[in-house]
Amino acid sequence: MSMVTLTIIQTTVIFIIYMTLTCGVPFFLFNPKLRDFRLVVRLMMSFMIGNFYIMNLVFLLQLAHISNRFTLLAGTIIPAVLVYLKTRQRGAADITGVFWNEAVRLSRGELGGKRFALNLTGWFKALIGGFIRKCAGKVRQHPLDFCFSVGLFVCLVWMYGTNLLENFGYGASDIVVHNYWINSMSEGTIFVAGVYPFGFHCVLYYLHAMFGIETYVLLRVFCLTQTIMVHFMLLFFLKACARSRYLPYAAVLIYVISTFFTTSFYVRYESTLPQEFGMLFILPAIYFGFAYFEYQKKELEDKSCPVRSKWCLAGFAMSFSMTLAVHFYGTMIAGLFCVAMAAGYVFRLFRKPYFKRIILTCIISVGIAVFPMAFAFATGTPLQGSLGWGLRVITGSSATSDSEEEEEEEDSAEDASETEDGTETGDDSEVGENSETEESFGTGEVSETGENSEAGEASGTEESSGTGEVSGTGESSGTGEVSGTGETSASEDVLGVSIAVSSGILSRLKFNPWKTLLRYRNIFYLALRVFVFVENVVILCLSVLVSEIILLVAAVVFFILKKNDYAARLLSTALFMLFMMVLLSAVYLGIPQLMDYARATLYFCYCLPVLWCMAADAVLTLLCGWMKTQRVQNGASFAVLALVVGALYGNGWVREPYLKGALESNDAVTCLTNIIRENEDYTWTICSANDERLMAYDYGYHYELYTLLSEIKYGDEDTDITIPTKNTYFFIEKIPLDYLVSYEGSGQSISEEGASRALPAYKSLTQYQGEKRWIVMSKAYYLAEALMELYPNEMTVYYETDEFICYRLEQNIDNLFNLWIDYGYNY
Amino acid sequence: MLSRRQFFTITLIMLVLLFLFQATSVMKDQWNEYGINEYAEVLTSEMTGENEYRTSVSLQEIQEYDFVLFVGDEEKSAAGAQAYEWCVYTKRSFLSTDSLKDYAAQTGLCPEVILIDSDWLSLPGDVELLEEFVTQGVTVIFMTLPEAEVVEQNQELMDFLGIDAVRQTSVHVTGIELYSGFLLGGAALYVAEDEEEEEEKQDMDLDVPWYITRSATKVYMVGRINEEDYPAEEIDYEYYPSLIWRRSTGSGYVFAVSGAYMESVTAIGLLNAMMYETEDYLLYPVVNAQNLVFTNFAALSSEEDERMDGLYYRSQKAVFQELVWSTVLSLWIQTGDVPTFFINPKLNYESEEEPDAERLVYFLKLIRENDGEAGLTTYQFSELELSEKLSEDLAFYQENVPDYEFRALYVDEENEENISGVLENEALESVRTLILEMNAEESVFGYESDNVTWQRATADGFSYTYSDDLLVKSLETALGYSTILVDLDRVVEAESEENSWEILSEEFSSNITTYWKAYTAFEKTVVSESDARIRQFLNLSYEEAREGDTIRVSVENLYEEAYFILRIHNEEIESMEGGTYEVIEEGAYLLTLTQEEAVITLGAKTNSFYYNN
Repeated sequence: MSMVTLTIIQTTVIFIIYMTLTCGVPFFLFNPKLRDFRLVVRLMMSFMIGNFYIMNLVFLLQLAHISNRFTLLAGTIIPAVLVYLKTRQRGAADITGVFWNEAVRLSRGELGGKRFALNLTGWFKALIGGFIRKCAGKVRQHPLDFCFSVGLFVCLVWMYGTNLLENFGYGASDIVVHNYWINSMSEGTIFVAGVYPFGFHCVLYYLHAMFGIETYVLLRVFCLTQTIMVHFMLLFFLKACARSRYLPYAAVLIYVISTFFTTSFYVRYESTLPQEFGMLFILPAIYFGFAYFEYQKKELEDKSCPVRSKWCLAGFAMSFSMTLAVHFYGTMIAGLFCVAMAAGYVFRLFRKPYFKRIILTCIISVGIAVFPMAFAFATGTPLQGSLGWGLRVITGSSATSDSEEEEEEEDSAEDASETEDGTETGDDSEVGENSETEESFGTGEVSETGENSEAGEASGTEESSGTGEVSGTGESSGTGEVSGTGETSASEDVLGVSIAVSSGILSRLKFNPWKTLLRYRNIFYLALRVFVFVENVVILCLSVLVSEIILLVAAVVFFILKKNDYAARLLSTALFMLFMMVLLSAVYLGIPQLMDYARATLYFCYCLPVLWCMAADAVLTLLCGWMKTQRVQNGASFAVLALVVGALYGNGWVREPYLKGALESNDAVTCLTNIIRENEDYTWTICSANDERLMAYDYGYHYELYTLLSEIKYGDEDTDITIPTKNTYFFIEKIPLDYLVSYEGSGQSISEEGASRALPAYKSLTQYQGEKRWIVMSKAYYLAEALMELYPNEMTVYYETDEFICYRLEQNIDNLFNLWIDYGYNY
Repeated sequence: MLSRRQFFTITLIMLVLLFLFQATSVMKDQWNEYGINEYAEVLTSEMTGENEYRTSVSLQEIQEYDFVLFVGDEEKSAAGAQAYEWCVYTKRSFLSTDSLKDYAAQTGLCPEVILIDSDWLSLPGDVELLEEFVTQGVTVIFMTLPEAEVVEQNQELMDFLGIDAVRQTSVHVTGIELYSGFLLGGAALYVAEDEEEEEEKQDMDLDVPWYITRSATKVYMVGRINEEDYPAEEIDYEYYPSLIWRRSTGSGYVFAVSGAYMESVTAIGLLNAMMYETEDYLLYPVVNAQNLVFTNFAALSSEEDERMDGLYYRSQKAVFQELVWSTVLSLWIQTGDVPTFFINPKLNYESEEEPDAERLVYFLKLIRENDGEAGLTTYQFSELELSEKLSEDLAFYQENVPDYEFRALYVDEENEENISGVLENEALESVRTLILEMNAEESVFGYESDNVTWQRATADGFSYTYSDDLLVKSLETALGYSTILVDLDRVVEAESEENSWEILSEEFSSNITTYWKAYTAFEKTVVSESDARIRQFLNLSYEEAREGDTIRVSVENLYEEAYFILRIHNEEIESMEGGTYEVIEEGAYLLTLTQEEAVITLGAKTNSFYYNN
């Protein structure tokens, strides 16, 4: 079987399992209670319930140190059955009764075993048949929606699935950290590197523990499932908020397939990372907030109205709680939207029936998310580095850049990894959970220009997410020079207005409303040009500004028209996008960066479809809303969708799937997969550079290639180096890949020249970067060849391509080979 | 009430059933050709010593890298004798020199292997010469090592052998551990679990030098130390005293054997295993015969009735019929071993009692039913001349089973030396093979004369020590041959219950069913079959060469079938032309060549790679 086929199977299976658990089962169980909501809302709610339950179930079991397959199974099935009995009292009673009667008849011998089995099969067939008929009914009701949804799904699979089939390895260096944290959960240790939002890890751990899916496989392929759902949450949010039926598809389609955006926003979607997982819950939280205000008002006005506000509050609590439980950046964005929502609904917020419940819901949602972390902290687990940083930013005691956060994560993760086996592997230590973004997700190559540039790379905050190459010295290829700290000024001529951007300059300006407005406009414009758009920049920048204005104006109009709920949504969206613009432009505005530009760009881009869709929807509603029929507006929105599709394809604005590469060769993953399949667990060791250590964690052992070479270098004939497993596999890249860092000789093959260089004396990941990786791999190759010469029957080539070679050393576990040898390049 | 018709029908059915049951027994008895040795025709006229393959031993006949150089005197050195035997069995040319320096100066031809008896070594000068040979790809095997004190003082030798340190010149180990993958039959731990086992089985030399080997070495056998003797430190397995190891230099290999393992026939298996370790594969001829021999089967007379009655409450004849035979039968069913019986018509030829002819027929029938064979024996209690004893026996057989050709003769230890003279007796002209008692110092088999071979027992059925096990492993590895000798004289002479058949049979059954389990691929034979295979083995010569994935073997002097063992690293046989193959264990195959040319195609191990890019 090819790895591509295997990857497709793995991805499909994981998608089906995850969707069944988080969407299918909750939908089935809670459908009777959610019947009064629209389908998209029910789907959102089900998805929130599913994820929320899994996360918190794992949290509870992990904190109680009783998490394993059986407790997870019991914790899943028992509540599901109880909920089923509760929500479908009559149906459940009927089914239970039927089953009981059948069982009694079976026990009495009145019913044959085969007949009983036939009856059961018939019941399941009827159940599945009913489900299919319902689905088919929905499709028949909304054929276009179905077609567009399927189309969007296909686009997403194409855009984000292609990379999975081209690159099997992890796409980000910090995935190994998450791998380590999830692995630790398998051993009953949550928060192994300190207290940190573990919601993402809980879900992956659940899939791993319950279904036996290897963690490294989940981390390789779950990103597609996650990304599809992130986009569908966006679609559902827009479908739920907008009045025009097809505009959401247009907005999301532009976001998914257009060439307008910088790669930095979508490149992250190709890796399984918690920040992107956290995005799943931002917009549902906002929708449930909007919906609460709307339904609460209706319920207050009309007591006979079905009670939906409580569900909305519950949905909000779950969603917001999960943003916090998964990643703080998601919470920041959701928080900003909540502030905007509060501003939009200020006319209701402080009214007694609303305020009390909202405050209580907020406390509960934050409390649920914080409880596991607080519990762990109270029982002696220190904060993970980035959490400490986040808290300092929130409390205002620190306003430093992300680099400090990364450094702290690095330190804590490094400590954790070192305590793991006493060997400094550097995989999770060098790059903390967040630190990969600027390096691996920068749009261009990060070039190594010397020691200084490495330092720059390591701190990883200076580089721009612009379109071109980014150097370690902090130069951007955007239209202006951008400083990571915001201290350096940048001058730019935008729309004929010359601006000087600096906190110092801004503070010295005399206040002139018009000039200030223009200046801010230009700053935002600059931020959009540098960070967000790469094509049709002027039009798109204008579209953002125009959409903002439209939303603000439309909000006022709808307030005047007494369409308060809709107006409040528009106003909230407009304000939120303004906040996002400020967040994005913080570096130019000279205000502290809550979030580095790459992440701010990601969130900003994710919210742009909301801005465009709501603005367009406002226009169409203004134009057609007065009509009694919705058809005209729907028709208009369909026309807009057709226009968008036509424009995108007609003008060649459809991007190709981005193949971002991986930090591990496909051959290495292929070998790893085979090794796991072929050998009994814990009878083998992989000696390689970095990533495989945590990927193989549950199945075998890992020995750091650099450690081996160092031990040989600093050892002598009396040194004893043994690897105590029957099989040891040496992963060697014949053409060393650029692990985050390229250098002048990038792409060159391993050689005697490389092996003859001194082994680099760097710690952690740096020894595997740039030219140093070439040296390490060259030495490792000659070491392996020397071992093969000494042990020709024991050391064999396990797998080989033009770019990669894997050796297998088979040894007697009772008398291990001493791997200290003089291979000619011991220095 | 039964009607007449019903009564008739029932009676008829009963008669039919009676006939069916009884008829088979009657037919089996009547048609049993017990009077004919069914293995008398297994030999052909070509299978004689005249056609034996002769090992080259002169400088003129050898080619570079195609001979074995023994440093020492093979006639005076026990290891040398084994080295020579190994060359005979593996069809290698053999050359010996008592001075490596002289050899290097006079000829300088590189051999395939240099075997060294350290008594003939001149240190440190010879080490330099050996180093040069190894650099040129020659494998050096130290069949014996100098005293540990000498080794310790000679750093060049230590470096050459891959010894990191001599921790102690002598240490008492609790046992020996042989690792898997070296000899056929897998790993073995020769450590007694209790004192009883220690007394019964432990016969290995447990006082060994404590050599610690360094990197680039691979260890095959170690001494197990008692860790309680070293409470202050944790001693890893890697630091246990190495007994057999290999040092790789990149260009060649140096093997070292600490102890006297190479001074017995154990050497031939060890040498084969070492050669296998130097190549990616090793193909060599084997006998493929597993014999189970019962000697002194004294079931036809009653000389020891009194003793038997006291111990077994049975007569001598009844003991053999009821106790011994039933054990043999159950073993045959359990393991498939086909027995060869050496029947004693009488034990005491001074006695007037005549052997029981009826019982002879009875047992010959049973032997025939179990595919076994009967043979003659030289053993007796009395002191009658051997030739007279044999004449008397033959006269008895001639009278009762005139057509039975006795092909095998068991020669007890006392008569080994003078047996060649006795064989000239015309009455013994049908004898083709002699079965000799076990002696680990001597060769395993060979030609006694052009027409007669001898085969030596390789294991004692009743007593199986750790050395015996190592010997069996070695011989199975090198020759695929074993002869288990069960001397029933112990049954007759037993004086206490501890030596009674019940106890002995338990021991011997458990030995056979346990220690030979790993060699089920080899064929169970009677000694006449084994004789034919030995003749084939000794007479054949062969050439083999590998090209890519194909090994071609051509055999000369192939009579019917020749057997080879193919040991191969990291590959397996995909197909074979010119014969068949059977797996002995992982990486080891038994090949049966039915044609003079055979082609073996090798492939990568299956299911080793599930997913591809």
